Amino acid sequence: MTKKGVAITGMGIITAIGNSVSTNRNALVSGQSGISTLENFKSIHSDSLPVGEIKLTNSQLEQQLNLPKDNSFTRGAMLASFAIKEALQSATIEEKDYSSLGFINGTSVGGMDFTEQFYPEFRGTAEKYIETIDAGITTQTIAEYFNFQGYTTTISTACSSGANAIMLGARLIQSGRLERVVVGGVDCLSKFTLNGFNSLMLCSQEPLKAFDNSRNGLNLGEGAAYLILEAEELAKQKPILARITGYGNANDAFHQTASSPNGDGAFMAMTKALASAEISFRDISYVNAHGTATPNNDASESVALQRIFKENLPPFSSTKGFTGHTLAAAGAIEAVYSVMMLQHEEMYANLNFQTPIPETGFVPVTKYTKASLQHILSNSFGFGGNCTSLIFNKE
Amino acid sequence: MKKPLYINGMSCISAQETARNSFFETIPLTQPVVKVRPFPFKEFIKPMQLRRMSTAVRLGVVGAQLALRDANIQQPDAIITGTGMGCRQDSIAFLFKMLENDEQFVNPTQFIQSTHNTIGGQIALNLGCQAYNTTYVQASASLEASLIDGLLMTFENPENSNLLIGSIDEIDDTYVQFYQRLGHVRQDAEETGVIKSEGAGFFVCSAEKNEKSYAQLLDVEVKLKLDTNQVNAFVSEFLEKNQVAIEDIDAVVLGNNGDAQFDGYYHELQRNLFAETSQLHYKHLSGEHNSASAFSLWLGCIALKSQTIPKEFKLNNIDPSQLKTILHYNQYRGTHHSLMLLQRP
Repeated sequence: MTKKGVAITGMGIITAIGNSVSTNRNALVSGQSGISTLENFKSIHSDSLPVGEIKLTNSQLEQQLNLPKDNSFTRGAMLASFAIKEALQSATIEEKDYSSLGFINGTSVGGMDFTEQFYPEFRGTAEKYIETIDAGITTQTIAEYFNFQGYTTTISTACSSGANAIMLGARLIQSGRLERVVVGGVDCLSKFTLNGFNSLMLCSQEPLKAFDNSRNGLNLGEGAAYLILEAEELAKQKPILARITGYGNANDAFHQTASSPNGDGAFMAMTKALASAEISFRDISYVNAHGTATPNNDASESVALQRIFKENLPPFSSTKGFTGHTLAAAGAIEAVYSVMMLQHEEMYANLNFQTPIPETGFVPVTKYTKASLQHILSNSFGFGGNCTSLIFNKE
Repeated sequence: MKKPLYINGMSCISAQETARNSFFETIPLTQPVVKVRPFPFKEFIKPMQLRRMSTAVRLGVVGAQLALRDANIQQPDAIITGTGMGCRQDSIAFLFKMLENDEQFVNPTQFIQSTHNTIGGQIALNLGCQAYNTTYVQASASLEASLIDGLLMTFENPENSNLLIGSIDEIDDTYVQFYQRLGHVRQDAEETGVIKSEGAGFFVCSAEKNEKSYAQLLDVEVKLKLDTNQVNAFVSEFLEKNQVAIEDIDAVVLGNNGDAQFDGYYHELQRNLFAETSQLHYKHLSGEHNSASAFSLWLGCIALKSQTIPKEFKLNNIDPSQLKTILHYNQYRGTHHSLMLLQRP
């Protein structure tokens, strides 16, 4: 009755709450947030803007990945490679078969964190970072490191990039263009994004409070997460973690950075995802919201959820209270969390919530809860009105 | 199984006078860095808006409008944009101001406009278009990534019509100096480096052909890395997969850009697989940039529609007996090898 969907055979992740799937889960189960004070680089905002920072320096990442001395990996390329290693192991794909993989990567920062360090002199060996500013070059660096020889490309649609990468990967498998593909996203913290978001007055000086009436902005985060998707013939030979059964993308076409009051883009994306999964809104067990805790997003997303679910809003939460808003990585990180929820029959908390938004009165899941889940809807909305929703099914 | 994409409308804004979608009097490129030809952007965009728009955004917004006009379409069913370097001008402007002022003063507008998908977002805003919208940022294969998405859409739902697919790249005056420093840009009569340029190309694509159709796009493929001795096999396998013989290729459009270090890939094909085929090149007129393959595709469409190849684009002396099937091959600095297979509609 339900559409079968594309098999997920592996996953890997690194965020402020852990360097692996299991350490992320431990934090989510225990309710331990990863929001802290910026340490890895200096900014005038270090003390005022909390962030979801991965407490590994670039040198430490280089060492852990065993990179050669003259490499031109930027932080994003390193975080991504770290997470992809776990994903490939979890999918039991051998190194000799890496060349059969395609790679769809979502990133918005690309290598800008290194550009801002060395601009404009790019003195000495830093000259190698002149080209690493480009999102596509981050992807190329990772693909070359693993020797992925299948179709490789980069999607850059701000905060929905990771979700769009997963959507494209699923479509490539379903059309037969690819048999196996690594999909996901990465973004690292940078002065560029910290100052950018702050100048738009989107950042909070406290840990973010998604869907709370007194919410006042987001905390930026960094991270990387990847899924391995495989065609049925290949997937049936191994444990399948979950399936992607639906996806939808639409454009809000309202404003470059703000969402429409009626959440049109979000509403259409969720509608398309449900249609593509061939299920009704009543079949959704849980919603992982975009929930950035900006006054605008949470209001707009709430209206869209109300339009979709009417009186039947399922349990929902934003996990950004744990990780911060990881921009392009968000959709992929939340995909991994969705798979974990399906596998372990649980829901993770929407941290720091106290008072509902009066217009909708929605109360999210506020603590770790056991629940048998079948279909999860996950939302990611980005600048440029880009709205994407994904649906994951329990295998 | 596979469904082609019919190209039913298009536009090209470049270092040549290409805006009228016909063959033009070519202007030789004499500088190492060449911007697009002067274009009456204010006929398409209100002055207040235009003032704040980077080159990439104006090329995108106007390129999209021109292509839709050419196809006689008001609203596309999808907006798929590609860009190798994104909105470099606004990114660097924001970065520079932030660093200069030690983060004390930054320009939020420049930040918003620095995100790569701002072009696709602006196109959607201008049209009030809420359809599927995505942005590919993959160096010189960004148009190709967008076309592959379009091919997927037609395969998934043959009723998908009027997909607006395009690619844009702009020159940033500051960053281009860094490429010059790296030796990527030609200096004087040197044989390495390229003529750096900018431009945009948009294509309104559909599963259905009509009397306006320029061409049908049969397939696109991208390979990140190849050695020169692998390129012939890469092309043969692609053609075989699409059940097209070498003899069926009436013309091959190659991305030779005059850089002796990397043109070897093209020479391999010119001397082997396509030694007996009509060969075309275009980068001596479009310049080199991450969206140059849009110029290439535009050229192929013009050639198929007019059934002629102007001499300025000829790379050898072989004239095709007919113009039915054209293959496009491009790469940049040894990576992002792309193939596009085009045929009369």
